[in-house]
Amino acid sequence: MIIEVQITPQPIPDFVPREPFLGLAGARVEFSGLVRELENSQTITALEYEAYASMAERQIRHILVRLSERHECLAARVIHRVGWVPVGEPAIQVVLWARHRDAAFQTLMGFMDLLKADVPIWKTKSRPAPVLGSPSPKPTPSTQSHPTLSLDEARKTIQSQIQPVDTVETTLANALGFILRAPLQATEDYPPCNRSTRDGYAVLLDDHSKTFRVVDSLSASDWRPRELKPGETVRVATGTALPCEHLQVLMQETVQEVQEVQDHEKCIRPITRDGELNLQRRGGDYRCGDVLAPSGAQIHSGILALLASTGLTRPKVSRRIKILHFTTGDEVAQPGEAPRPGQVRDCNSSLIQGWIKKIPSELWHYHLPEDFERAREAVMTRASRFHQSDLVLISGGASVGATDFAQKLLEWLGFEIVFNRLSLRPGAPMIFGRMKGRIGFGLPGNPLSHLACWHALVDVALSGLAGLAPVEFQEGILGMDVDAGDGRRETLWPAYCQPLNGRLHLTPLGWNCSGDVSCLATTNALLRIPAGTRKFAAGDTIGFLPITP
Amino acid sequence: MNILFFAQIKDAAGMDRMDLTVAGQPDTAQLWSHLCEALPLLQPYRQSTRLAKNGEYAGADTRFCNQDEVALIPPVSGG
Repeated sequence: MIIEVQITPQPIPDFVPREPFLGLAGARVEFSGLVRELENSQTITALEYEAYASMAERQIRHILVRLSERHECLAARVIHRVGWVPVGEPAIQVVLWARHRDAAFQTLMGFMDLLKADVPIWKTKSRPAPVLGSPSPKPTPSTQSHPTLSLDEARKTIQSQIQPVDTVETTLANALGFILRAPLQATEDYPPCNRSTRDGYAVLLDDHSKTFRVVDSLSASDWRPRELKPGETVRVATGTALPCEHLQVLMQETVQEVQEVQDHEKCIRPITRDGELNLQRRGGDYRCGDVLAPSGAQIHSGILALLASTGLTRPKVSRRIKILHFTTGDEVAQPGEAPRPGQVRDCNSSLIQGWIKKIPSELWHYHLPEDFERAREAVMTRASRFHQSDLVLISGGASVGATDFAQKLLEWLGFEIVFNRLSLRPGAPMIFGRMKGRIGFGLPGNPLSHLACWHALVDVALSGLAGLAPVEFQEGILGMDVDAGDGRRETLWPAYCQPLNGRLHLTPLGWNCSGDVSCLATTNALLRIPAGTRKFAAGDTIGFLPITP
Repeated sequence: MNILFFAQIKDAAGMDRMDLTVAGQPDTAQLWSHLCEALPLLQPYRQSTRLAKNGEYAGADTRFCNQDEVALIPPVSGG
């Protein structure tokens, strides 16, 4: 029996490896033990597991070997996760391969009983869920330290935590912009029959008669199959379904219409003949089973037309993403208000309103008071929105100032903070948290930080939730020198990108600090200036992230 | 010998390991006496806790020596 055991702090992947005994195993039984929401009558968000790993692994092997003496299995793979495991995620996964299902099921049942008795793994702590709408314990300040991540690490981390939302069936009228979650696959050949591409006369392919008798006349909508004999022809229009196989269409312009005197039949005589068939074959555009658009494609007009063409009028797509957005801080006034001295108007919520239009979504926006307790109360009144949301965004308050409470609020809401600092400019104090069925971001409040963090990071999550591939960095040619001025951190520099002489040409835009806003009017790319490099010169190849302004 | 603590015993002891030197080759009951003498807070856990020697559960007759890794295994709760 082949046994593979892992005791790991990493999330357990969903996939099951390829059959190790292709053809020999008749049964594969998989079991995942999930962390439940209720632990000792308390609602929780995560459980912590601890293991005496070397002994646990050895005990698991002993148990499997012992069981295989009674129920013969071919192979077993056991993964047990340690550390914090969020609710809904597997703490253990067992996969068994056997010749027959009885052995696999019996082994699984016996194994789980013995694991719970003898394998040195413990649930040590649970993390209680916050009770929204009722007095809550004071949030405990996070004592856990998180490493400062690079942009690439942060993007990978986010991607690893995102699962696409559920799929729904939609109608053609509503499908535009949604993300396909099943490939658009042709259910029949197109065109469904051989069709003429010219107005003219269909004759047998090798029929070189001098005169052809016109035996029928078909319009584009007619369907009248028939066999043709040598010397016979059928009048056809562009788009007409041809009456049989092995035909060619003589263009109307290349024949002379004549009337045979003795029987008043209409005939034609070819004036010239070339080798052109002038027809489109059945399946010449696509065949039954062809994938016309992959899963993950965003439905645009062209895909919509193909859905219509194939008759797939109820495409399966990702449902709308529900986004709860909080802006924070007394330093911003609402756009319609006159700012008090020292205030500026909030433009982050307008930015986010525009950016989320990329995919079908629903957005709820609220401004929170600067005081944490009052902010918490304001969130409580939105508890039902919170419970519906897929993505929680907090604009501002991501840093370490006295009134910066984004992390505290995310933790109070039950998020497990995955990272809270990046080696990035602008956008260093960026917070990312996760919990069952939901992810949360705390974005640094300045508009250019929003621009960088949204496109380089939040967009990765939003795309992932929708089942869309994230926008990746590309390369272009720099139009003028750029001096990042900070060699320590990676910099995302606002730029204008346009095609020029067959290449993408990037013009860096001026900005002094992340509070600047004027360059938002023209920015459609973010130049990537890696940590350790400050200067790029005109003509250099440079990485950039294309963005939709 | 290298004594390892896990879960609630680790929390109670405030450490995850300690060194213990014993004379001769004590059996399980004798080793427990040494352990409780060295760390009296272990006493309440004695009834429910098993000992493991070098990654295998110890029986009543198991003998321990100073080179062994000994783990205190409170009731497990994996899966």
